[in-house]
Amino acid sequence: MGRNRLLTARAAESEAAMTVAQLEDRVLALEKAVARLEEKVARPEAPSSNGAAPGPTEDEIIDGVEYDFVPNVPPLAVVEVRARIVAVEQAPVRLSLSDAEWQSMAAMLEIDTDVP
Amino acid sequence: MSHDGWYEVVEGPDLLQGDLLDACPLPRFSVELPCPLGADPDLRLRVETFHLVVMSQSCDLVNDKVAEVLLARRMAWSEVVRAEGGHNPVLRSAKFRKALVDGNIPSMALLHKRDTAPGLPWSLVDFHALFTVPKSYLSRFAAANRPRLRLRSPYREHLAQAFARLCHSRRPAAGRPCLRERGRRGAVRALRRERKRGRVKGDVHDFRNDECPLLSARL
Repeated sequence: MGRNRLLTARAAESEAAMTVAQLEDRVLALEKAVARLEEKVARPEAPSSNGAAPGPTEDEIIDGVEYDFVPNVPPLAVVEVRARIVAVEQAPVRLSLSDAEWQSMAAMLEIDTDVP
Repeated sequence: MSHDGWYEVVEGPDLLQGDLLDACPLPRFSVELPCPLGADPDLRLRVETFHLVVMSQSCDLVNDKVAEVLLARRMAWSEVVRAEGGHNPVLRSAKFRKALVDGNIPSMALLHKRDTAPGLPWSLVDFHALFTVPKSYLSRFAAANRPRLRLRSPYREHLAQAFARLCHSRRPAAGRPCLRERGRRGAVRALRRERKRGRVKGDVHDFRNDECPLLSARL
């Protein structure tokens, strides 16, 4: 009988201890959330290029309606690296067509490319 | 602001479709760019200067609806001939030059010369050489690059239609030429319809009325 009481008392104590631990976890989570919100308020998200507030979210957009904002979709990943500029020069003059496309154009225009 | 045929002379940071920008420096990745990027890669950038024409739509630029501006490369015809004419028989051929003048080369457009300052030689716009540049950077460059030229209506729309034709005329079939039959003549008809509706002003210039160097017998 005395042993049972002791076990019951220990179980209750353990339960109370778990509850305190859970409360501590919750308080910690809330503190983190508040810190994030405070940071967000202090440094709002980047506005659109015209300086206006960010536009509606994707869920709020209505099809066919034109909105006055620049979609501010964050990039998948941002990697900041340092780069060294090794040259500043005029770009070489050349057209961007591949040899295959020149050949294709020659065939279309019936141009004999074998003539020197 | 003075007006002169194809172009008007403008100053300031405002950008519209058809704005010409000279010697704009753009950073270019080296072909040896490591992939994937490591934690501290040894990146080397070349900054090359290009003559450019703004291809983004004017309404998007004016209303701040784009953060990046689409640009196409522009080159003097004489420089292209000097650089590529020696080893490119297609470029030298009269048929190619006539097709270019007629607007039947989808990946290119021809810009008329301008003799008075700021001058412009006969120029090619290469729609295969495209860049996007942050609008804020380009506006600052445009403000410093003064005075500069801006294509007037309807040549601005004509250039935009030439670019749109290229985007719509691409076909995936291997080996099949992507020249579109409609070409410039169809575009001119479309522009005249727009002119009747009051959306564009003026008529489209005919290169054949000029002494266009592309139409000379030999290069």
